[in-house]
Amino acid sequence: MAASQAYLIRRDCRQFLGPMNSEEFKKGLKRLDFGLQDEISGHCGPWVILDSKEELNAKYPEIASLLGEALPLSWRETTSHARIISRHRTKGDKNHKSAAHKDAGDGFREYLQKQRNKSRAITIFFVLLIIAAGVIAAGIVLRKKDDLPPIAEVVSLSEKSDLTEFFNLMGVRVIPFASRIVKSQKNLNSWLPLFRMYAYNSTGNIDGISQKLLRGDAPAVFNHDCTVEGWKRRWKENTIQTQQFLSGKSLQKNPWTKILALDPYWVKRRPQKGWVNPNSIYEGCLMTASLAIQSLAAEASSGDSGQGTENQDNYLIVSSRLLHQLNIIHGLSSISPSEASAGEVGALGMLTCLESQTTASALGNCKTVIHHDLDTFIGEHFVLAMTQLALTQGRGRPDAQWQSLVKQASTTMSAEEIMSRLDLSPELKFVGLVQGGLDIEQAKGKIKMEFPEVKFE
Amino acid sequence: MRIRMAGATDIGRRRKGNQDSIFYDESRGLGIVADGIGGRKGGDIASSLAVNSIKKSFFAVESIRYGEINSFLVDAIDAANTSILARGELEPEIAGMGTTLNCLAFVGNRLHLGHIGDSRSYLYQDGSIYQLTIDHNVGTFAARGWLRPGQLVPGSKNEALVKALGLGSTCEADIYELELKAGQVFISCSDGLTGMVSDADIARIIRKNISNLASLPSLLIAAANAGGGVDNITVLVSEVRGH
Repeated sequence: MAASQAYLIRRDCRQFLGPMNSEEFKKGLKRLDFGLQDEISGHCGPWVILDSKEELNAKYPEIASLLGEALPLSWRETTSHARIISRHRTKGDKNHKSAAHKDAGDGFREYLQKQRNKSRAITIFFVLLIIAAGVIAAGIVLRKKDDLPPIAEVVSLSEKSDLTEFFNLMGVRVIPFASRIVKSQKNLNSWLPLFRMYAYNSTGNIDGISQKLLRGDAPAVFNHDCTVEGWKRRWKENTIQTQQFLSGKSLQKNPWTKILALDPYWVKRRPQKGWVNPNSIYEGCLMTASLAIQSLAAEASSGDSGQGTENQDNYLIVSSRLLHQLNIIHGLSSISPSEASAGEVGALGMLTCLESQTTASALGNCKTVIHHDLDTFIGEHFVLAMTQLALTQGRGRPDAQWQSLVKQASTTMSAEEIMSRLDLSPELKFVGLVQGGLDIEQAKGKIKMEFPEVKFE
Repeated sequence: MRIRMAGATDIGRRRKGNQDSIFYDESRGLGIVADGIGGRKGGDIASSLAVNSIKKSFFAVESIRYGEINSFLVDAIDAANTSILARGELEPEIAGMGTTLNCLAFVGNRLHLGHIGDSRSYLYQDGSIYQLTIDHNVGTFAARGWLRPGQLVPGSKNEALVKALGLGSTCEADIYELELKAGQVFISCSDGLTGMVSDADIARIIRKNISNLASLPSLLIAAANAGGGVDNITVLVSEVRGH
């Protein structure tokens, strides 16, 4: 085995397979010994997730090309079977001449001609029969090769705590046929949540499915490219503006600042139909943004990008913010309020702090140096934090301090445009109802009636 | 499978003491490398406690069932963590000490590897070398998105450890498994080696000297010292031979 051609696979972060050469890799992939979520390493090389096409292309192009070929190959093989079968058509009996033919008279010749025609008809019949059988066999083979797994099976794998099998099955038996599923529209509504789960947990993209279809009903304000590559590209394009936002110097509206400013509780209250892990386009975009920043940080630390330490600090700050948002959405937040913004400064530190407090009086702890241009923006998040505080309280009416703080904040809110341009009306209405004298349960009931798609829990 | 082992530890060229510890026993198929965390008091005590505790756990049993080896390894590492914390409680001046750990248990035709911290284990096979362990440091965790919010403080260095023994009441070690084949060589080492010698150079030194296993640790240590020897250096080499 040549040293440069052997690869080691790390499956499920705990078991090693190999080292194996490219042929063994192909066989292992076919047998589902490992899947696209597993990692590969070559001699002296880094570990790269098989699903990470770009990194794989850069580090292990041989494996990238094998993966690129392996999936569509099974589909192409079936058409070549059909071609081989069609060669039977050239078989015939045209040149056959018997000795009797030479010596026979006209009548007998006529008889022979009839016999020959009959024989030819029988031959043609059998040839047609063979072709028909061949076509049917090819059809069966073709169908078997393209056979998608039952949706119920994929759904049940998607519900397991270990998603290895889900990603294996989707990667090998569903994703290569994604464009056909979309074109045929057959069971598309059942497949879409699974496509989204696959896409937003990896690259944010599936070949053969448009971004528009993957995104679904995203509001116009949130209508940007949420692929990992898209995030990386926009980070590089908007570095200075994002830096100004992060340091709290000015409010810069670009997709990165929008995603970082998303209130995780606002996202959590808005699960969308047709989405499961992620439960909405907002959560999906947060997931791919997080993957993108990790990738940028990895490139920076390996020296590929030629970026300075300032950028690396920004990666850590942004990565920390995105994890905070995702943890809240996934119900994983276990950090204390004082620790919440420890790794963040400026605008992000302020937001994370506001989202992490458990009492209205503690909101005063969230002080940082922020330019007054961001006052309205922070005010908006202040109201969102007040909403969450009231909801967390569960019953009764919030204390006097809450009432007083809300009074100040809602005056600002009503006077100014909503900076995020996302729909905050259920939250504003809820706060208004509580402020107007309803207890929290009554206010929640009213909101449920008026905005049934928003989950106020 | 028969396992042959050779190991050595060296203070390096810049440190005043050696905080690394090593133990290996061919007959039991057990190898341990630990690197006490520098910059804290008691790094040498922590690494020594870790090695002794793991040894004690393995020596206390006659045999381990194949299916139970991973959970046994987890328990042994937990016990090592507890012993470090307990010692810290008794001696406040060394409280907070910590250590990395790489523990190799060769059982039947498999290697079970317990790992925590930034000491590494490599597989060398057919001229190629592969890093088996993931460094539990800020750089790696940030790149992989594994850092929890609040876990990072601004200015954290990439080399700062995120996981190690002695840092908390629970420790999450990585446990790996690999099927053994004759001819494989496993190299476990402290970062005193990997900080000074590239993976390619480690592979080159092994390739050149594979016939003399006993000399490999000292050759690798010499290469690390030649590269600057800024830290203590410990190397354990385990070769898999046929039955």
